[in-house]
Amino acid sequence: MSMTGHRTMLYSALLLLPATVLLWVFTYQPIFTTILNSFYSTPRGRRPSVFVGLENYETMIADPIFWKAMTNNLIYALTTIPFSIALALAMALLVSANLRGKGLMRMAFFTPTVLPMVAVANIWLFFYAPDYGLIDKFLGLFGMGGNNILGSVETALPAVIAITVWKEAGFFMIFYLAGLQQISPTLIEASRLEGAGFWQTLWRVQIPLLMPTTLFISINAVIGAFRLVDHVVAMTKGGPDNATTLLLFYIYQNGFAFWDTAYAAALTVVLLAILAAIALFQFGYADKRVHYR
Amino acid sequence: MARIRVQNLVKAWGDFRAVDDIDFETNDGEFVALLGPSGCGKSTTLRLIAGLDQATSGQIFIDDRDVTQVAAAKRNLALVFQSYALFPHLSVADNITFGLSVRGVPRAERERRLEKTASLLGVTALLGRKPSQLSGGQQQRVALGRALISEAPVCLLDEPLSNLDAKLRAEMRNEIRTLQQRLGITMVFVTHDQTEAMSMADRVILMKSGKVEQCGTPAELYENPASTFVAGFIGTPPMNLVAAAPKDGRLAVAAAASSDLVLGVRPEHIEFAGEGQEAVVAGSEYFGADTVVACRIGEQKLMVRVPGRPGLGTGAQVRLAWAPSNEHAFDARSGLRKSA
Repeated sequence: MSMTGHRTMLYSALLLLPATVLLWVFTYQPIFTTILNSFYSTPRGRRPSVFVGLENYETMIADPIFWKAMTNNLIYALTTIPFSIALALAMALLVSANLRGKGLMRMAFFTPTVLPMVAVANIWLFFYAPDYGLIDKFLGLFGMGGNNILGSVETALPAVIAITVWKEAGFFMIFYLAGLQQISPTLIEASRLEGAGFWQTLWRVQIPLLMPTTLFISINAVIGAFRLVDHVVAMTKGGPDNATTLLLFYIYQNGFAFWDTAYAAALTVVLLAILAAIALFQFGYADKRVHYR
Repeated sequence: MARIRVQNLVKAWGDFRAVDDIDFETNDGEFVALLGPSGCGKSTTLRLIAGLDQATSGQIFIDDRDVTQVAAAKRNLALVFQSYALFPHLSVADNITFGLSVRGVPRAERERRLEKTASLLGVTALLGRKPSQLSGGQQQRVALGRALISEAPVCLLDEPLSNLDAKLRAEMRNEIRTLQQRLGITMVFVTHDQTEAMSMADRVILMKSGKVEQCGTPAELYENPASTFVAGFIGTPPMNLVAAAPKDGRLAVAAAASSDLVLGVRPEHIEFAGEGQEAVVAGSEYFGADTVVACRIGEQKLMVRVPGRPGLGTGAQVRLAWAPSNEHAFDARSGLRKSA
C-alpha cells in the first residue's frame, strides 16, 4: 500500500475512533459483560462470584415472579401499543381536519408527551387516589365509590396502561400528522368521488398510505413498552402482589434493590433477546411489506 | 346520455370571484372544452360540476336533475384528475376497479368490466403493476380507465394532457376523442392550450376572469371572435389587433397606435400583394411549411403568415392586402365585436 493509502486509512480510523469508543464503552462492552455475568453467581461479602453455568436461567424458569412480569409485560405491550396507535391516528385525523381551534387541540394532545413521566405519574396518583381522587369521586356520584384503583390486583395494571396510552398517543400523533400531510389531497378527493365515505377512504387509502409511519411508530411503541417503567417506580413499585411488575422493573428490583446482580444480568439477557427478535421481525419482514413504492 | 346545464354559477373566496355568474349548456354526447388562461376559473368550474367544491350561488343540472347540493359521489359522473390521482399502494387493476369495489359491485361483474375497460384502453398487460412502474402515458390511460369503468354518462377531465410530452399528447388527443365518440358520453375537459381545444372539442367555452367570454364551435371562435380577447387567444400566431381608421368603406391600419376602433385580421389571411397598405419587414420566423413575417406600419406591428420562404430581409418594403370578409372590427374600449 502506498503512503497516501496508509494516510487515508489512518484518517478514517481516527475519525471513527470517538464513535467507536462511545459505542464500545456504553453499548457493546456492557452487553458482553452482562452476558458473561449471567453465567456467574452474585459476589457477596467475602464470597467472590464463581462460574455457575445456566443456574441463573434455571432459577428464572422456576421463578413465578419472572413469569408474572413476562405476562404483565405482554399484556402491557399488547394493550398499550394498539390503543396508543389507534388513539394517535384518531387525534391526528381530528387535528388535520379544517376545524376551528385545531391549534389548541394539537397543543392539548401533545402536552402529555412533553411532561416528564414522573410528573405525569404524580398527577395520575391524585386521579387514582381512593375517596378523594378524581375518578373515585366521580364514581362516588353513582354510588360506586370506595375504589383503591392502584391498590387492587384487578385494576392496578389497567390503570398503569391507561397512563401510558395517554402519554404516548400524543407523541405518535405528531408522526401521523406529518404522514397525513404527505398524502396528496387529490387522492382523498378521488376516493370520495369514487363513492368511498369517510371510513372506506380511511381504510382503503389513508391507512395503507400511512403504513411506513405505522411501522416506525410501532417500533417506538414496542421499545417503549419494555423501556418505560418510571411510572411503575413512582406509583406502584410493582405492587400490589406484583400485579404491575414489568420486566424492566423486575430487573431494576433484582439489580438495585436486592443486589442480585447476576440474576439481573440473566433477566437483562432475556430482555435484550426479546427486543432483538422484535427489531429483526420489524425491519426484516414488516419493512418489506409496508413500502408500497 | 346526459346534458350538463350551469346557471348563474358563482364561486367566491371572500371578495374574489373565481367563477363569476356563468351560464352554459352542453348537448348529449358532446365534447366540450373549457378553455382559458391560467386563473380564469376553468378548473374551478370543473370542480364545481364534479362536486369537489361547493358553489357560492347558482345551480348545476345534469339531465335536468339539480345536483348543486348533491355529493360528488352521487352525481353519476367520473373525473380524471390532472395529476391522475392514482392510488400508489394499489395495482392498476385495483385502481381501475376501486369505485366498483367501494360501491359493492360483485366480483364477477367487476372482472368482466375490468377486462372490457382494460382492453379498450390497451392496459391489459399492465394490470398487475403499481402506478410507480408506469410511464406518464400509461398512468393517463389507467386514470381514464378508472373514470370510464363506472360507465357514467358524464366524464370530466382536468388538463388531461398537460403532464405528457408533445408526441404522446398528440396521440392521446386523438385517442380521447375517439373514445368519447365510441362511448357516446358527454365529456368536459379543461385546457389552457387552444390547439387542444380547437382540435378535440365540438364546442369551446372560452373563459376569462371567471366569466364566459365566448361559447361556440371551434370554427365560430376562429371565424367570428366575440371580442379582442377571443381573437387574441385563438390561433397561432393569434389575430393581429391594431388601431384602425375607416377608409373607402373598409378599415385600414392607422399609423398611430390609438384609435377607438380596432381592426382584427389573422396572419394567415394577409398576403403580400401588388397593391395594399405599405409596410416594412421587421423580422421573420421560419417554421418549415410556412414563415411568420413581422411587418411594421408606422408604430404598429402585424404578423403575416405566408407559405414557404418568402425571402424577405429586414427592412424590405412590402404591400399588405386581405379580403374584406377576413376583416374584423372591434370597439377599442369594450373590446367587443362591432356588428357590421
